[in-house]
Amino acid sequence: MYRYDEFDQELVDARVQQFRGQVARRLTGETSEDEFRPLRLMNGLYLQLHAYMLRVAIPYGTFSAKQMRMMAHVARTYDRGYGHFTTRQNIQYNWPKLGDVPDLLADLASVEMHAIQTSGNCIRNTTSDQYAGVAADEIEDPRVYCELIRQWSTLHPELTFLPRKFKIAVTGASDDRAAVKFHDIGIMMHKNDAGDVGFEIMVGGGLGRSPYIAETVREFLPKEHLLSYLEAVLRVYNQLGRRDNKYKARIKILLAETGVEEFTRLVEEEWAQIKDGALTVPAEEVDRINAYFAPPAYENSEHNSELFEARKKTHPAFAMWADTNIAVHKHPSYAIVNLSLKPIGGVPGDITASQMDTVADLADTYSFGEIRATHEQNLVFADVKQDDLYDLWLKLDEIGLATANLGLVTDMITCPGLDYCALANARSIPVAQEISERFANLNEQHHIGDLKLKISGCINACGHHHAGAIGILGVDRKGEELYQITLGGHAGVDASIGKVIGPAFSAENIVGAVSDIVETYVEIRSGDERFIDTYRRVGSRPFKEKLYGTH
Amino acid sequence: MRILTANRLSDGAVVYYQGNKIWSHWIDSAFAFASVEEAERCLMDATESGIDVVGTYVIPVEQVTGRLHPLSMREKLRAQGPSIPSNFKAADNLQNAA
Repeated sequence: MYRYDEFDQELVDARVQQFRGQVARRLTGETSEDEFRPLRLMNGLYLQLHAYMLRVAIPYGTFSAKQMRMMAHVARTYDRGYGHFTTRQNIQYNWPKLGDVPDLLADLASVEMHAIQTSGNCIRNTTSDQYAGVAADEIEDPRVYCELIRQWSTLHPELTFLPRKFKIAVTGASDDRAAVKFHDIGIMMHKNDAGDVGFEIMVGGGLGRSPYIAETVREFLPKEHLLSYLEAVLRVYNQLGRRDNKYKARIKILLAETGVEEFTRLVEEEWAQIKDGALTVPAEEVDRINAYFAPPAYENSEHNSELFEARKKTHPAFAMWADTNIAVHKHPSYAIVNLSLKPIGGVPGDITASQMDTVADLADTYSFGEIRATHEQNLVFADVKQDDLYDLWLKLDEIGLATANLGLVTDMITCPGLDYCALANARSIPVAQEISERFANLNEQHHIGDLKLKISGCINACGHHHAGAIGILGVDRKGEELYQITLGGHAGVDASIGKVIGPAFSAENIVGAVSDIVETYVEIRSGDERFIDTYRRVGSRPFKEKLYGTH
Repeated sequence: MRILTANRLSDGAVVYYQGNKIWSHWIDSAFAFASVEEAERCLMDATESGIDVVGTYVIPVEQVTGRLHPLSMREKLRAQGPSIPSNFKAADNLQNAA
């Protein structure tokens, strides 16, 4: 994985020192909250309902065992013994004290981590496919280009005060696991007829109160032009994006108001002025970064593991886990392992300090010391020998991270909701916990099959509810928490936005409603049709009839 | 009935205005104003009562058997803490054991 050079380290260390002074001045009253607030937000420090919350960046979700041990240390030393993985592949701490944050950041900096640009109207952490570099359906490792974007966008003076926050995702695979079409810029790698690799650039996707699917502004961009083209898009946005209305300030609104053709014309016009200039990516720089993502030293076996196959036959629980939590690796004798952070009844995305330490040890033992965080709030070991899968499963099970539910109904994206978040209108986590308990039977979950359920506690949609096959949105109606259901959302290459099915449900009735929807799906599906495909085939009517008795 | 609330600067903890430039963790020790206007008149004084609170604002409450109860779910959760305590118990035990 990428290692800091002297510039990266110097920048991060200097920022810690700068913030130490800013915190000291705030605590003595030398600066006001109005003066301090933008400074703490630039360092990822929010003030939530009960405490400060620090969001720590994990570039494209890839981190080392050493960094995970530091995350555990931070959780123990400065927080309440746990952390929370987010949909931007970052980690959040819910209880740091303001005076401790400079020391906390200094500890993180010692392992090449920081909280810069995890808040504010700037380019946030660039996310990617959690199977980057190992997916069987991948053209090239997208993290190389994520890293280029990270270096270009970090403290870029022109991009520090954008109209609104800005999110970019890159995938190098044909199967979109990074929800690229719901990003301000989504980048998808393609190979053209001549065999050259380039990028499809999609702009204007997003969730929140106005969900949009990104539109393609360039079908094929040669790789060396990536940064100049992105800068052209950002310049158009910076000049024309709405700064008068926070709710209309995202690039998706600009694109919708301008129209994709005119927006593309503006970008191309801007690009013509900077193309082939200083932002042209030198091939040697790509090679230098590429070297950091070189495949590890795989053992030279060309065959699937007989041991793995034999264990599945003799251990049904292991077979069940393998069925959902293991993905195909490009190397025939290795596998990609998903660690579920969605134990039955647990808090989605939460992990304790002791679990983090064990995960770090297991990563060292079984997966070349590397871990990935997914935008669906789970973890991944990307390079596990198939021969080791059974032993690894036993060890993950000991620490509660082997729930066989990847991609199933209990593998929910859930925002922190009103239990933590100052913006939320309703709680999300208790709803997720109750749904998880309702579907606790793994046999039932596996019978239901692939089903993405996503929960947000307000219209900002941090829980991606618009992109859930079943989406749940918490709303506040006269002091009561109510939950609105959307159906038909999907975050893949065939992305779609969920549609509201009818009146909202009370907190007492929402789990029953979800249960009714799932049971209806199981009754009417054709063969092994996924929920999303059944919905697209039959529409909302059978679900409405079940929920509301309407025709 | 209204009270004043804020977050403590040092750790973000929820606090309530007791009067006499004193802020407390305990909602029952908050000074209860009869009207919004009265509470808002005191807001400036309370805000300037020290550098150790952030984001002062007025919230509606009701008094039930001598105790103050916030009306909104948001304020109930601010007063009681997150409604998912089992997670903290596990984490706190772990911290104590470390």
